[in-house]
Amino acid sequence: MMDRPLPVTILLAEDDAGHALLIEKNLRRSGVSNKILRVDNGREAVDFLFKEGRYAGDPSPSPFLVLLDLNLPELDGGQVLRLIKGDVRTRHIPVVVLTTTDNPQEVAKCYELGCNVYVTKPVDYEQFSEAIRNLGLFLSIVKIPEDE
Amino acid sequence: MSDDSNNTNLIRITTGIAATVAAAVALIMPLGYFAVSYQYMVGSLETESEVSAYNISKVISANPELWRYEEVRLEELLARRKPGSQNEVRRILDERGNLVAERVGTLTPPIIKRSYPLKDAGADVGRIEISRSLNPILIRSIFVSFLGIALGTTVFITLRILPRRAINELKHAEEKLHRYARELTESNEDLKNFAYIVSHDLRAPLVNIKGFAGELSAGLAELQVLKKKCVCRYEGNDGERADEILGTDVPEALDFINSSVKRMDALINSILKLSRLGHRELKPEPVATQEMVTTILKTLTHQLEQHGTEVVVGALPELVADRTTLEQIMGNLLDNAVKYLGPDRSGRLEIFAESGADEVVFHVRDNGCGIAREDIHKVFEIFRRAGKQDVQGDGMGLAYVKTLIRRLGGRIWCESELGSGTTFSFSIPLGNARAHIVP
Repeated sequence: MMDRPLPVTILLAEDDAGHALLIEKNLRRSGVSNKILRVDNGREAVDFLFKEGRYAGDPSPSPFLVLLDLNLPELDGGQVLRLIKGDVRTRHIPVVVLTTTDNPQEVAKCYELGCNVYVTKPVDYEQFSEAIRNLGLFLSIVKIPEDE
Repeated sequence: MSDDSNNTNLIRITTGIAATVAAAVALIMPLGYFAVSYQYMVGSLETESEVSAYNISKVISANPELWRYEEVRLEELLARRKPGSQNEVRRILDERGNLVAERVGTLTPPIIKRSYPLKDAGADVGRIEISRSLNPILIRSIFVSFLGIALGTTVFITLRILPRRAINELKHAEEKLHRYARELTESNEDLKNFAYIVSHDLRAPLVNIKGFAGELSAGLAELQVLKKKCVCRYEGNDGERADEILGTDVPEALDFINSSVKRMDALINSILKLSRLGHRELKPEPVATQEMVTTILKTLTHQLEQHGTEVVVGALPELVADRTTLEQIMGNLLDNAVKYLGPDRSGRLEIFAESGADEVVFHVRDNGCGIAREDIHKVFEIFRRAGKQDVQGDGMGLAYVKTLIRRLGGRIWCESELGSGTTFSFSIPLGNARAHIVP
């Protein structure tokens, strides 16, 4: 399963290149081999999901999952989340919010907007890996039905 | 806004007063003038009739039988009057009321009449009657009433304008005050957000530093494994140096990076916590502080026993305030007091309160190691700790306490003597909705 590329794509919306690389490395390390597509601002994430702007007419399949950072330029994570969860075409896409904020109010707001999982990026590398790995595990488990 | 309705109310009341005063002026002036003039006229009529009666009585006494036939003399007497005297009608009547003599003038009604008896040796033989018109008085009263209305209007306008002006001035001052308050709130809000943004944004690069340091460690570990497996390509000094770099230098550097990141993370978390204290919503509720202090002291039993501490808790009031905030304040202060008790003597802890008119002041007194005079201001600053650093602490406790007390509208201060103990005192105001004593 690990060396067989899966048809589903993970959209990673993260403006910090370092964070993006770390997230990708750790996802790979925990066995996620899906195609990971990275965008570095909220507008692009929305364009990709709704096949608008430079992604108009893009034949690539809708992503299986969105990893969303909250602090994004142009459109912030909250606005992206609101757009995804407010449209029938994208409502079913699971969204995992990844951010350095562990402010309870912000966490609550994200869940209110329909985020499926909220992961705080801890500075502690072990915890961070653990969080991403758990996410990887979560991805492997969830993707099985679609794989069949 | 209730201020506006208050002002409208005030204006309504002052308008009412102004209208009453103005109406009073407009009414009293002509009425008063009329009353005084009428009195004067009545008085002068009485005097005139008396004077005339006296003159006539001379004619009567000169000829008591036939005086009533001396019409010419009597009419002459009647015609005699003070110059400038008003238009009037004078009549002399005998005791049966028959007209004897008359001086006629034209009088427009209303007419006022006064008479005086004519006497002959004490017996009434007739009377003199003088009539005048009230018309001139009425005309002048009307004129005065115009004056009164003019004056009343002036009074009304003045009385209405003055409070309006005063209110406008007040409003102006109030607006200024509101603006200052708003600016202050905004800059406070900015400061809170600033702390939040700074700490949040500082964490993002930290995730990278820590993360990639971890990647380096992982890479290094992998390299060591590879090195063991394959034949070493470096010989002699080069090989030793390579081993030194990979085995000591790089891990050492990584350790420093990791420990610094950890420290930085802790500092950022402290700032974040402090900024969150300012954001948390307060829920005022009745709090029995006596009970609260007792509960907190129970959690400190072990440390208190270690120092053989005697604890004295005075009578503490019941307040309406945010429970969690009060708990954190008390908890931090008591924890500090216990933490810094001197190791060389048995401890003593006093908690008492004084209730003033508008605030309650709590005191937490210990006989611990104390704080040097020049260090007292430092204890409330973030990351600063005073005295010997022989007890664990992050230098944030009192900074939190200060922020929390400020949120409740109070203040904190500290008196201390190095080596003999410290008293922390803080006030909680009663005068607002945030806290008050429950009777």
